[in-house]
Amino acid sequence: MSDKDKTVVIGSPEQLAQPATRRSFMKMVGIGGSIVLLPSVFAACDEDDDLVGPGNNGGEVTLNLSNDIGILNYAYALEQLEAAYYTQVLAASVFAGLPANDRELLTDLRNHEVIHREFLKRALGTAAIPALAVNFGNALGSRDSILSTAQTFEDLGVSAYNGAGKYLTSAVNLLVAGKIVSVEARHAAAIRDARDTTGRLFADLTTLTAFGADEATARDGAREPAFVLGQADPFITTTVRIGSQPTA
Amino acid sequence: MSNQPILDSIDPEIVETLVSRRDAIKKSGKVGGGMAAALALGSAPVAFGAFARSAYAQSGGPADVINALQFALLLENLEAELYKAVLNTSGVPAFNTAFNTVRGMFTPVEVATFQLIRDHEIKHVTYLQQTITALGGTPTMYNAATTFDFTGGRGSGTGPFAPATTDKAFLLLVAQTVEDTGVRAYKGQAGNLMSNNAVLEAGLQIHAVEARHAAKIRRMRRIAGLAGDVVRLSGTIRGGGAAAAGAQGSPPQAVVNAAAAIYGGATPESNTMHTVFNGTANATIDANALGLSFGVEAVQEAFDEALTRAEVVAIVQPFIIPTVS
Repeated sequence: MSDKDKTVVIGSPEQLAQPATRRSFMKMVGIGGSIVLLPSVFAACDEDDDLVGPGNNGGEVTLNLSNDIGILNYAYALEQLEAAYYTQVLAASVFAGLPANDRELLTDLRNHEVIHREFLKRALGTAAIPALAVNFGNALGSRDSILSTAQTFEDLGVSAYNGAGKYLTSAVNLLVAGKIVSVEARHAAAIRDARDTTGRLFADLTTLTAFGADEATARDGAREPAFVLGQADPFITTTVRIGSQPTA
Repeated sequence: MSNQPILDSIDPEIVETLVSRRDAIKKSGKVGGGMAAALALGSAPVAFGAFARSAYAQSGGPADVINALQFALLLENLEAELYKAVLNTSGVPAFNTAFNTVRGMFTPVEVATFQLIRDHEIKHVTYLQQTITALGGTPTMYNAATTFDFTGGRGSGTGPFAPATTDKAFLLLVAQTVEDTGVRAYKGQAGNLMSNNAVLEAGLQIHAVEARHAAKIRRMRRIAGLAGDVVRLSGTIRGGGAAAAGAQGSPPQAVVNAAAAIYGGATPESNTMHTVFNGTANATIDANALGLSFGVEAVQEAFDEALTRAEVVAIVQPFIIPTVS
């Protein structure tokens, strides 16, 4: 299947109503293909049914990872996901009923991730990718699902930064990434610990092998952008594609 | 091959990871005939033998890598030996005896936590030794009995950190500062690993494990009763200097001074100014001026800071009997 076959281009809102387009649309969703909504689609939407927004397809974003800006945008994408998640957690109906310790923890994480997101946005300036649309499905319904989803995001974030460090050519940028990744690791440990009774979950590397951790040498996760974005994909309704590949 | 005996002691998987054929070709720039032949054979250990001689032994970058790893090895030895003594598994009987009192205060779950942390540090020591060897260096071996003094007395055994052997809260403070120092030290060395992608990635992976340890110990202290104004359940560091340690009571002045160095330095943990290279120039951004309203404490917590090697040496020297350079 060529890349062209994996992409459906929609140029007008009317096309969305045509059976052939709908079939292609659903097929693309099923195989993880891309759906391109040309600007004309949005231009035709009035404010009440804008296609961009939580729960809708938010268009498409391409990450060109072959330079530091691209890697920082990759980090910005992940921080957007985390910040949006905790922002929604704090607004969820179950939040007020959580124990005080959980509320402090989740509020701290919301604060830190929003700060990371806004910092990277400021750093990238006009090179920043647009805001991503997200959808967390049923994750916000209970303490257990809130914390387990948070754990996935934090462990994933650690593995993402660890795997991307080698693609940064600037020592200054590597240092900034290092300043952030250890905070993500602290978050991951804290969330895990809040769910734990054994005293070991905070750094149980045997539960992190899917993220690239190695228990034998006591190393945390490290994963490539393609893997990380694949894991994040179910929560991001914007289509995030990798354009140019990272170069070490 | 002349360096076959060295290779015998190296885990082949580590060699393969550290010296992928792709890296070898890229970093050496010019591949000699013997090297090319070895690469063509597809055997990482064989290729490595040629690689160690032809590339790593010469240019400046690889020397920086080994130097940084040797420094990390010293710190990991200190950590591993401390936790071994705490858990009565040190090879030095006097170290084990010293921690008898505080050891009796641990719950089984706390013991499990310390065992996990100890095992990680021991594995880091082994991994760093193997990595240094794989890169053509000779890992420094340390005799714990003649190298470390966990009281911070450089061999006197009566330094200001001696209360850690009898006071659980104080021991947790020490463990937290040890882990946070480790996080800051690795962060400060990352730039020295940039010439070797595999080693840089491994260093970042270890750095994250140390951060997990630090966060857990902060949570243990908080849940044991410390106030939340400094020690957060998120395991992050609020503020900078001595106050960021969240010490209880009135610790000895030497301990306060140590905490001031551990959370201070040229770029203290309270720093909010961070520099990014945007493709054309360095831009320094104040993360406390992003138009958010979470307070400066949250901004301080959101970024950990590095320590220079000299700063780390000054912090750990009281615990290490020989002079650290």
